[in-house]
Amino acid sequence: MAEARVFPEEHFDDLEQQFSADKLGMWTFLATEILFFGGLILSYIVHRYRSPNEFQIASHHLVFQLGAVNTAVLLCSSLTMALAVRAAQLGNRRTLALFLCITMVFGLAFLGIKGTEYSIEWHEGLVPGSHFTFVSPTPDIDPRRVELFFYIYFAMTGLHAVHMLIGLCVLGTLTMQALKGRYTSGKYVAVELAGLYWHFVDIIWIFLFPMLYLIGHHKV
Amino acid sequence: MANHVVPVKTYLYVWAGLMILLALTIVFDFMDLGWGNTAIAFGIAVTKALLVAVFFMHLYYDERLTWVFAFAGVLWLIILVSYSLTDYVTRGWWTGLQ
Repeated sequence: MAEARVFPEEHFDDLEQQFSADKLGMWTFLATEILFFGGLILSYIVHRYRSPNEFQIASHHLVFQLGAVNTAVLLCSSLTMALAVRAAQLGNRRTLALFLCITMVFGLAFLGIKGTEYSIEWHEGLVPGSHFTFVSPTPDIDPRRVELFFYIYFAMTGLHAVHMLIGLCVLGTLTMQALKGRYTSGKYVAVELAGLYWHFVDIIWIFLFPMLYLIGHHKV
Repeated sequence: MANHVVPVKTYLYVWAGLMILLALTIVFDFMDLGWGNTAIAFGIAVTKALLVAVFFMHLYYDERLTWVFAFAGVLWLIILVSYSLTDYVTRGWWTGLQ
């Protein structure tokens, strides 16, 4: 089927420049997102530096196997997202929709596993606040500093989960648009930019996993 | 529109590399290496992030200007962390005028 010709907006010389500008805009937004998480990352660094033992003990209360599975899930979702963008570049409407759906399934799996972890942490009394219960194994471990770790843990993974949810909504919208044939090999910038956002959220988790789950080491 | 269509094989190789690095992270996690655990975990994370950014996010195929924008975000994070640490790490270094 012949595709309609795509024209750049007025203020661009050609389509290539417009596409380039679109991507630069997205990267700028991602830079702001890096600093959005950056505040929490700084908080983590400072408090881990000041309470290394409490942080290690707290970290060992997390189920790192689930964290590892979640990391694998997101890495796979990035693969399928990249393949979705590729399908859009080639004008394959069905393949694009398929890969977007698979990416969403991975995203939902991630959130499901995260929710399971949160439930485990709630039942172990590790959620900060009035229900936080933690007994120090030795007197030199301050339970307030352990609670601090969990504040940071829930803040970081919670913020990350919110980003995942937003990403899922975006992907859902893209899927519906894709099925309507809105994306052609000449005009798929929305898919490309959504892909950049999704990969970024994956990269955040790539750092969150060792930061939160892998403090010290685990015994076999 | 700039259409550098990446071959599926490239994506699969990158994905395989990412999964291998994840497996390595776990393997090293079971070893007692002191501060080496943190250094290795962080190093592997940086490598994974670079793989995702360079290939999945198409940086490899983009113009230099895009690289500048991508790096700028990281640069500001480095400034945030390092400048703040100049305070926290040096607390108690100087007892000052009595």
